[in-house]
Amino acid sequence: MGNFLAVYSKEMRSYFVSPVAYVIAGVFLFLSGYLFRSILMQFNMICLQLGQRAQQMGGGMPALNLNEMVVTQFFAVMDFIWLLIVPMLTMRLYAEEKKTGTIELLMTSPISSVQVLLGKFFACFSLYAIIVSLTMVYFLILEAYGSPDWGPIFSGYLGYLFLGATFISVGILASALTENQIVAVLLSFGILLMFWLIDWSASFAGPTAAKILQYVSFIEHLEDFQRGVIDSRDVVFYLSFTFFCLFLTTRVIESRRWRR
Amino acid sequence: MIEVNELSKSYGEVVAVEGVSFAVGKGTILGFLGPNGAGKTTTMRMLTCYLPPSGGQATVAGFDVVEESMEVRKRIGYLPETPPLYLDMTVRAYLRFVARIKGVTGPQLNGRIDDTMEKTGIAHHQNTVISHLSKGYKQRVGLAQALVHSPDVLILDEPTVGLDPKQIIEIREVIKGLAGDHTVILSTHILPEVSMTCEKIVIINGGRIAGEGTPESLIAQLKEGEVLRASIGGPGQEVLSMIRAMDGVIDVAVESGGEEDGVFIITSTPGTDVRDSLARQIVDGGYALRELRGLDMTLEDIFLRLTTEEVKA
Amino acid sequence: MKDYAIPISLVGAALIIVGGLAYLISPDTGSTGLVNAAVGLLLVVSAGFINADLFRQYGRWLNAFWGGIMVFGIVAMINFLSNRYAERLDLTEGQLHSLSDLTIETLQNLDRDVEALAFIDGGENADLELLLAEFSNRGSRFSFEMIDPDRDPVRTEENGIRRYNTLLIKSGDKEQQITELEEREITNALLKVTRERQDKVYLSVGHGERDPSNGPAGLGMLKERLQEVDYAIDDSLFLARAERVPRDCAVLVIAGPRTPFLPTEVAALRAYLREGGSVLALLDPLSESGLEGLLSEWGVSLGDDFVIDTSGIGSLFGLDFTTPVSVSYGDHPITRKHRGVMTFYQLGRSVGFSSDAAGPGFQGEALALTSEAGWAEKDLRVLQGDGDSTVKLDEGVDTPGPISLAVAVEGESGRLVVFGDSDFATNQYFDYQGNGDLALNALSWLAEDESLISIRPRQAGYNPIALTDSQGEWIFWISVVLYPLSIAFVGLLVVSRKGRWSVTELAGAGLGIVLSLGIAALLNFLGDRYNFRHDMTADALFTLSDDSKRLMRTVEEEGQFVEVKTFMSEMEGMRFQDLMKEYNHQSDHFEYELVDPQKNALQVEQNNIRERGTSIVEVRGDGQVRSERIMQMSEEALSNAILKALRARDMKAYFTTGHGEAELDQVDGKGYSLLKGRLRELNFEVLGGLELKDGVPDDASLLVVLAPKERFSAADAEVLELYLDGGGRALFLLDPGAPTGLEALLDAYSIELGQDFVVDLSGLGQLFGADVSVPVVINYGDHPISERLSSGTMSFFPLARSVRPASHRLKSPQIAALALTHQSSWGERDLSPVTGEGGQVEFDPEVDLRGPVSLAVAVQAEPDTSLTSEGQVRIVVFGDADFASNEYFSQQANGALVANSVEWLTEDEDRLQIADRRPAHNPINLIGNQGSVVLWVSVFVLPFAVALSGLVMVLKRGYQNYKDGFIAWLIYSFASNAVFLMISATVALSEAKGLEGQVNLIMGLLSGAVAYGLHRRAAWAWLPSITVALLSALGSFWVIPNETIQLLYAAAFITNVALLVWIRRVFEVGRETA
Repeated sequence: MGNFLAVYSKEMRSYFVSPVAYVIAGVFLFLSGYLFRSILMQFNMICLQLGQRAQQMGGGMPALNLNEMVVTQFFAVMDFIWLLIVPMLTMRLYAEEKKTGTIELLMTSPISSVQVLLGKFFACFSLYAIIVSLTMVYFLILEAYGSPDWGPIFSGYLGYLFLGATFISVGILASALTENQIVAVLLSFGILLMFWLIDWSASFAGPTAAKILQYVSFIEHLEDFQRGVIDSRDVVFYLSFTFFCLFLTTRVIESRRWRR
Repeated sequence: MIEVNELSKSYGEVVAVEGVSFAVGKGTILGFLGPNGAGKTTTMRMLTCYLPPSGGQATVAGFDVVEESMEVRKRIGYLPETPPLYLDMTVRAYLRFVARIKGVTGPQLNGRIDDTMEKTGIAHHQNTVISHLSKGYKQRVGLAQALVHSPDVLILDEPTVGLDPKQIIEIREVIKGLAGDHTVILSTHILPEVSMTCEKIVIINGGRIAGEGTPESLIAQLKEGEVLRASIGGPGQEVLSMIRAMDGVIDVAVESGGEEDGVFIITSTPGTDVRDSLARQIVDGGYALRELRGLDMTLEDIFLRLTTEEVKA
Repeated sequence: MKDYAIPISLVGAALIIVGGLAYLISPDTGSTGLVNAAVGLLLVVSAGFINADLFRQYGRWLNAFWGGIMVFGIVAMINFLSNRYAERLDLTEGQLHSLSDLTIETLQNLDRDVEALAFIDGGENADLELLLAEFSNRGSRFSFEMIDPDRDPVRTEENGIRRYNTLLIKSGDKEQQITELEEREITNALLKVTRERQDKVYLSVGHGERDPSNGPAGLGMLKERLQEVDYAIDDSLFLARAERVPRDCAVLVIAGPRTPFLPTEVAALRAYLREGGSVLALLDPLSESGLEGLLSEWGVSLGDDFVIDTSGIGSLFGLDFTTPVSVSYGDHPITRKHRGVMTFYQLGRSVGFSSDAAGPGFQGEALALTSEAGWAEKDLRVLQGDGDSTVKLDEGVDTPGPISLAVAVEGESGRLVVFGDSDFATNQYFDYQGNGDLALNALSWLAEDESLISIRPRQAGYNPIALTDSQGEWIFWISVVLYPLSIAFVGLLVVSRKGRWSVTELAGAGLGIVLSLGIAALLNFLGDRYNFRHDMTADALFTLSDDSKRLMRTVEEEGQFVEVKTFMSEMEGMRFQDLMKEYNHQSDHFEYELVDPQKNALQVEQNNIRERGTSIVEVRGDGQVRSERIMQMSEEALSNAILKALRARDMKAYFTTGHGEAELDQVDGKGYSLLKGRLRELNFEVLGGLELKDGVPDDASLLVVLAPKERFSAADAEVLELYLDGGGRALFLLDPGAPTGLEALLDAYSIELGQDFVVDLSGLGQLFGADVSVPVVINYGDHPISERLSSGTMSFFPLARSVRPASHRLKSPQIAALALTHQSSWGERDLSPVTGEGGQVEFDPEVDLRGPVSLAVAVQAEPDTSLTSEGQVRIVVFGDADFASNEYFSQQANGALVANSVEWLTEDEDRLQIADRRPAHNPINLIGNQGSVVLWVSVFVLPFAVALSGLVMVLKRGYQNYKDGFIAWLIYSFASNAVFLMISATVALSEAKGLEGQVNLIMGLLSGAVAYGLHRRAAWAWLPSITVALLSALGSFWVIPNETIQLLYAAAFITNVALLVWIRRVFEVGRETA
């Protein structure tokens, strides 16, 4: 267990020491802040307009649900930004180790490659979780000015954590496959994007293939979370996907022993 | 402490190491000689459980490299060609991390770190970021990481490469100091370094052991005859034919020869000393004997002899 | 001394640049800048003397500086030129994006600026924007702007825009509004707006014509609309004095003259027409215009009559029969767009055209005609108020309908349009449906402008792509699966051949991957099978009610499958889609599909879907398919439909016989085959020929009495009563005039069957050719049966009797009238016309039933407990049967009324009551600066806080120690402060604010010097830098306009002061080289 903690704290340290984490978090928060504000302002304008119209015409007010319009929409818009951010966090995990040769240190020390992998995975996951939790501020603002339903917000964040875990596992796999960090980023972008858009092609494939493709796409499983429903089916999907990628990564790392 | 027999490693069709066997006693320093690409690094990587051998078997401190690799790794300190340094960490943090993953825990952790830093002379840089250190100091930190968990076996892959002479001498002193309580395998292709620090030498070439033993035994083993170097005044040709005529002389090579004088390498049958008869003959012939010296076979000769012959054969 | 040369030269250079720039920017006020530049020059030269080798350095700086300027100049020039002579190449096959050459020509020789304002709903219309951009590309004087009326109501009002998607073309004071946003229309508007010659419309005066005032009888609105279309109105033409019609007269309008034209005036008109003039004559009945002779030359005959219209359409708008309503029009450019639009003529005369009367060279056509129910009444005494009010069509004298009210004639050169009424164009009637447009179209046809050009409309070439399903699939497998795999395989081969991977190792890795994939798939499969869903939303939006869950469980137990087809696009009915997803998650026996009506018209036809959002719910199982149809998109409707389809244990509908009831299988108009078909669609097994004497079978779920002709015997009535009291369900369709013998039975359930027939004078039926004996129903009772009818549809009851809830309430039933006729209808007890004797139909109050009359009733009552313990009695009685016959069944709401009644009658008691869960209404309102607070917190403060902490970390790690980091920051901030102050000095100097300019300049130099000092870590630098920092912090409040940046600036320099204090020791040590 000590080994795992050693790798974990080392990775966390190197994340928070290098400016990369801060720059990424800063950029991300700027983007999400801007998106949140524009969605909120738009909804605010709609409320005002419909409010006036209702008074004038005395007609019934259509259901202007803060959650439906702002919270769900915000989550829906945000998930693509994760796809851009996570590969940048994971690119250095193995690629840099191989480039600087420190992989030999890890491979020749009495620490199993699984412990190394888990140490790195959870370090990246904690950074990801911290960045995600920073966006909680927006919902505090919502609480200040309206009364959002915290159920869907909680399940939305849960959805993001599972999605994040899957993205990170794919990112680590890509990082393990190559020494060059740029290739690692591009590779993980490619894989994530493919799984992101795969349900588009489903509509052309045959019925059975369509069902599988539909099932494999990331967005399908995110919808329920963002609407406020936690379905064990989605949890299993994300966890099994992560397990599969992490297992592949260990195989790739071990294979270094065969190759050279 | 380390037994290796019939170790071999091949990548697909390419055979990197084949049938390597040698042993290293506890506390001794073994010199691991060989040209680049001879299989030194691959062998070391197999000993440090980084690469699984394709064939043969090796044990370190009694543990099999493949079966009980965890135990082996606890007892090994390994400094690869490029020191495995995390450039964004400070020296102390780095050593702390390495110590922890090498199994050093609890109270003695800081003690070990300070101790190692003292030994490798980097204590005063402990808070600076490694990327700011000079190459020499980086090499020292690399060495420190190999020592920090006081391993039984130390495997150093060309530890002095890229250092200036003063630093090389310091590193050598440190390595020498390790003898006794550590078993060291030092791989290098700087031959003087080996003869000064190593008690035992293994020469590897083209993936196979070309020679093994102490420098002296190697010389004796390969010595084909007594070798003299004579600088004689007098017409080159005559002198040459005169020496060749002497009994006990197997071969005469002209190192440099002009009209009036010449320098000759004279090989005579082992065990015979032709120096006195040679001196007499020169004086009788009216020539002038300027210098006569016995040539011992140096390590370079051994090395050249072993590696070139192999190639011819 | 020597080493002071450089700083001096630097100061000098700064002065030259600042002063020079200030002078360059505005030579007249920048004189103080020159002074500074001169001082700067002096300094530079003096520095040169102090340190000779400085001049060499100057050389290097100078050519670097000039080099930069040169390059910048060249780049700017290239850009300017390329902008000027841009070439645009349109590669699309149909030259889609290029304008016709005529348009380009008009654009190029535009001699004045033209502006186009597009008021588009939502502010965006990509095609229009592209087109307008193309216009502005071609014509430099043409500019356009897209405006969203909702966001910019002020400008919309200002420009008098009345409708969305209007394009306003403006040039100088002339304006044109067009709604057809195509190239041809825009170019026409362009032409009209920029043309010098302005069409003039003259109103003839002097004969009591109507004036263009704004009173109800005036033509003010017509004048206004004409001005909008850029015609000038001149209402001063008194033909008698002017002798001839002015040359620039585009159209001469004679609006409702009361006194006749003089012969000289008629001659002037004839000459004007012969020269190609155009005349619009609006001639009211009873008035002598004196133009009859001229008109007859053009083949136009004016009837001295007035048109009566008894079609009753006018009554809809409160107009009586003296206001003819025209519904059908001639095929002529003027009335091309009037199909299906009504026009009203208050007191109009007939106007006819005969080509033989006109002779060759004249083509004329009737423009507006009344319906057959109108005729031209010669007897004008009625109008003069002394005739009796009854107006009859008397043969031989009056001309029967349809009557033409307006005519358009085109001669070799001139054009003439004559209307038999002038009121239709006055302000009072102008806005009645098509009146206004008719007048305008007539005028624009008359003023037909030859210069209008017609342009070939540009459409993208029609090249669709049609892939069969299999082709689609084939492409999918190739592009998504095989192709990438083959590339990966080749890659693998290359890698393995290089000897780095041996085949065995590859195989091992492959196996590992397959294994882990298998495990992942297994996990997923299990996860899919045993999953639970937890709804986090407070309003439990995504959880099905327990009833629905139980229902789906029974569906699974009975091995049935539910398939729902909803006719709407993905974008609509999001809530319903969520709902159906929940059903789908709940059990695999539920599938749903969205059918977009636009995309598959065939399916819409087959299922005759009339409304979007209709869903067909099919339950399949054990070889049978039962379908239900629901209109509402709610869980209650869906679950009930499934329940009904599930329970539809082949309901049986029995039709009684033996009393002359109607035949079911007759297919012609009088037959009821459609009714039978609809019953089968509602999963009924239809059994005709039930003899009541042997009792009503137990499995009957519905009993129908269809148009009996003879009286029911007491025994039969007895059987019926027994059936009903035991919770029976019956539908009675009883025609008037036929004896039924059921009065007592119905009366028991407090239903009063009227012995009458309903006369409906509301005229609603006329539109559809139905006469007074066919009452038309628009308003329905408040009952589940009529609730589901879509609002505003009519139903027709040919020869119906009244069926009303009786005054007494025997058996305390819940009773409701279903269909009520118009007020102007009544129940006529004198059945003589029905029974064929004919005769007058009058309403006599004591006997007849005053309207509105109820034609149908629905009753629900508790059964007689002795006979049965559960269930309810439900009876529906219609006072007519033909309304459900084939001829009328598919007329508007008739069919739906019958189907709904049947559905209501056979509804089970255990109907599910499921409350519909809607998301709670909690809007948000941010007022005033709350919005900016959100902006600051989420968009600026948070991200910068994170980024700043990163900066601190970098500073801390990047340098030997944090002191160096902070010094680097200080140098950076003071240097940039210096640059900023220099710039503001330049600006101040160029605006002749000498003092401010100098102060800024000095502060800038000081700040620069401090930065230099810090760089050298000079001991002297410490104190000055603190003072400069404090001064800058204070100064920022004057120099910087934006108050937020002032705060930031001041905060930055306060921190600088703090930093300087903190690293004080660095300076005490004296000059420690960096």
